[in-house]
Amino acid sequence: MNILKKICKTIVNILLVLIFVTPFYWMFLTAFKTISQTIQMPPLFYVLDPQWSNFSQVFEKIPLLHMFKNSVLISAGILLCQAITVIPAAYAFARYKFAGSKVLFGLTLITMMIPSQLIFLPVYLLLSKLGLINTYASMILPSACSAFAIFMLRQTFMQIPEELVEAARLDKASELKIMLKIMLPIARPTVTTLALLTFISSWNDYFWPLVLTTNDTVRTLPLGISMLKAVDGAVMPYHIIMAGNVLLVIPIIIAFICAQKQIIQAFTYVGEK
Amino acid sequence: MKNFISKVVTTMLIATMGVSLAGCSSSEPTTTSGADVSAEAASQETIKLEFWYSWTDQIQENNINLSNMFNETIGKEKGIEIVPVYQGSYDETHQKLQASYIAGQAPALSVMEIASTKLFAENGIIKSLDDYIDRDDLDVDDFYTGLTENCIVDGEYYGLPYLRSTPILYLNKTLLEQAGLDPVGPATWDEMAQYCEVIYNELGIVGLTNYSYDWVFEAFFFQEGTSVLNADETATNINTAEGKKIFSYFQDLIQNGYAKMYAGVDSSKVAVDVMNQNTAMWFSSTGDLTKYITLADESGFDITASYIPAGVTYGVPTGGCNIVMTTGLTPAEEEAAWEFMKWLTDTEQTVYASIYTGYVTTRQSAVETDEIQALFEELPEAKIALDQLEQYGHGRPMHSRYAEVKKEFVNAMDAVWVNNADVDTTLAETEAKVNAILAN
Amino acid sequence: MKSKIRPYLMIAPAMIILGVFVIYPIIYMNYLSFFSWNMMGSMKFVGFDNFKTLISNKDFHQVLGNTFKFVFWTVGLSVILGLCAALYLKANTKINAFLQGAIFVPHIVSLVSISFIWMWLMDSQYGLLNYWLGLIGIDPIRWLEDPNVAMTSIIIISVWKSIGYNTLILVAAMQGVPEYLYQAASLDKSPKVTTFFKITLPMISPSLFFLVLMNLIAAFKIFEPVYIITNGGPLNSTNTLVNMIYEEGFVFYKIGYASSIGVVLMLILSVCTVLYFHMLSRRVHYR
Repeated sequence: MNILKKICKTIVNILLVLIFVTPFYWMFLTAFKTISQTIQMPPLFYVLDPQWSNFSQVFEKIPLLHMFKNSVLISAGILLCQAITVIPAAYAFARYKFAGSKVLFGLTLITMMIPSQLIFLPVYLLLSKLGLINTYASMILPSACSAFAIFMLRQTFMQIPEELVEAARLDKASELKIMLKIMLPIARPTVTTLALLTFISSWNDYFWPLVLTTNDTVRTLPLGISMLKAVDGAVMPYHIIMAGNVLLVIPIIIAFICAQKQIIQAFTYVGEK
Repeated sequence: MKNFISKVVTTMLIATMGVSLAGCSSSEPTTTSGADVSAEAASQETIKLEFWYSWTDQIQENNINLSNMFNETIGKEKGIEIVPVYQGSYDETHQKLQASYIAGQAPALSVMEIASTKLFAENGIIKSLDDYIDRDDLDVDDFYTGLTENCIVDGEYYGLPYLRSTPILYLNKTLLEQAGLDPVGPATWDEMAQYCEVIYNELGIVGLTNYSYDWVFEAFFFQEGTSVLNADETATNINTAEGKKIFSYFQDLIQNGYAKMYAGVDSSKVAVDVMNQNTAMWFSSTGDLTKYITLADESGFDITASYIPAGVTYGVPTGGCNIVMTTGLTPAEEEAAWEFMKWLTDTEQTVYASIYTGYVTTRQSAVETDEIQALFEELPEAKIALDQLEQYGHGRPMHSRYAEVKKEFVNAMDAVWVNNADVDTTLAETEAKVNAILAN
Repeated sequence: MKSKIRPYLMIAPAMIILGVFVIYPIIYMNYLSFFSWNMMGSMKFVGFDNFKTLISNKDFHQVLGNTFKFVFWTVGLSVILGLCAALYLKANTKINAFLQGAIFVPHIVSLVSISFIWMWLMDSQYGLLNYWLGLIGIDPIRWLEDPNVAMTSIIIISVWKSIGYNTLILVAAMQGVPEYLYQAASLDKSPKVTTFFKITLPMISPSLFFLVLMNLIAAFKIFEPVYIITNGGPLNSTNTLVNMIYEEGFVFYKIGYASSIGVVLMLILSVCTVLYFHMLSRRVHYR
């Protein structure tokens, strides 16, 4: 009975790994195949002569390094801006009673329910009127604040005992000092969590770059990779697309392997609230 | 407290400035390889112009090479630098061109699929070239007339023929010979049906592979002596005797296993079947000629090409892209853009592009050159494409909402040929939808 | 006095960004839905014409149906399967941690990559899926080409991507259930199923509710897989609201018409949100 159970469990485990790991294995494998190997039946499950040239072809077709730089700059820019907008706002909503705070906070919560996919047309029009299309500003500003982050951080700030703040006030610490030196360190787990989530989502974002860029100036990696598929009457170059994919996925997977615990904690933390 | 406020405000300002500065400094475009051209001391006066193009592989290389050649010669002399920017497919290029125009960020130059010329001209995005053509006495009559049709809107030139093509029928010579067929290929649709049947019986593969390809679809209508839209583009001819004949003809072939049809989104599957020799005949652009020859070489078979078979007549639409100039440039930029357009479509560059890619030679003067004559010697298929164009080339529909119409045509083909829907109902539905779009 | 304006100053940057990039656009979108405009010419006021066209448009009915079908199955399956996986993996062992990680990875990988990977796996002729099905004697499935199957394929892809996140949250929720409750149950010798429905489920219901809302919003904004893999086809069978907004607005440049679809999506999202909070408040009372 127990053995049977164990066997069942092993089978289920293997199935799970197959279902969730095979697609990534297939991506890596395809990235090293020749085009004719990609359309070979039965398919090859290994390659003896890895085609590193697939990767150099990605570099030839799209300005990959430039897009990589853009991805980094834009993700970092979004992080910085969110720090500036989210922390004081969350602090104010948590610690002050002021006229209209409920309405404004409610409004903030409402924006959480509005996905960017709903409002991209007006945002595009707005940014073009401002002459910001194809600038880093256009890629950063729409994501420069996160209602979700304000909500999360406010919760954390509210849990901090009032006595701590009072004690600091008695020491004549300025409000800025209280916020930065007392509240933030206590809220650090939330802040790192939010930063991690923001970074991952802006690194992966495809929609805003698709909508808001018209040339390569500020285009990011995901968009670049998707541009590899435009072939006119030719075999879909899966070997090259997958090579590009590998370059896009690797940083995330490495980060996940190195910081699995933190990342898992981050996502769990948010879900628990 | 004051301290606090001022600190917050300063931080914000600095951040905002940082962001907008980053925005400003980023306005000079950086690209793959075009921008690498060394900027000399005189670069202060260099006019940088973006040139948008579609598609990768040979077409991409051709565009980058030509831009570099220009930058190193005339560009250097006159202080012009062309920066080629890849934009994906034609549809993606058009979409980005409109978007960038709205944002005041349009490139100076772009390729444009020919059926969209009118839409962009009417919306004032691209510039009439007549003044420049007159001034420089540009010999537009040197272009084949079938090609200039789609350059002209209301009697004015809005583009110059660049990478132009017609669809042709490609044939796997090796397979045809194995099946005991004449590798010259079928001349009529009846012969095409016979070819397909023989190939199916002899080799057990389909004779013809195609996908829901709006451009080749236009050819089918020309061959029946009609066209997909009526002459003044107010209604479609899809739900006519000719339309039904076309749809039923292919439906029969497909149901018998003689032909295979892929959905519009699966266009790349045709090339896969070609590569694996799962098909003997397929339609594609003349622009794919060099690509297919390389592919056939690597896979160990021979290919050839012929006219698309005739119904009551031969007939094909022209296709590919023109090069266009956008509006809103400064006079100096305009002058520079014109310089490049003129150079790019001049005889010598026409020769280069058509040899490099396989697109048709657009100028009669280019055809007369030794290089092209040598190409025809070596590659008779290139001449077939040109002959078909010269004798039977038509323009494409130019209605400003043709992009939407095209989608309905593709849906109709998908429905009948890929998913075996009823011809009559599908065509009636499509007709209603298309006419509604055209009326708007 | 100063301390009175201080909170306003502190929320100002956030409010300005949200106001300019979320609130204003949503208002402007509603405004645009009453116009006919291609972004280039002049705007023409057309009243409710865009909505009338929309209502009479069969393709739009199909898109609405597609979207609801997608949302229903994706949310339902990914939450239920996430729950199953969480029950299976809730014990705190090394193997389970590894499996949980493996299931979770798709969630943090770009949808672009996911889309391409699955487009390739689901290739009808050369895809791995059909090859494996062939090995066990199943005829090739036209995953992305058959209008009757394509939406199911898109749902499979989305469920595959989101299951890991749901599992993660639910495992955490289950591990948070106090042990003494289970001990009491085992003393009562109640069967496992009863324990699940009587203890586990009620205890994790806040997390479940949270997940359902998150999954709902995420599902309604489905775009990337549709846009990249099928572009709404074949025969409009995978076209969803956001993809339609994108196509009508950014490809055909019918801004007013696209905005009117946006208004419909906004209404749907509002209803979901209101319903959610309504249920949540009842739930809180109940607890």
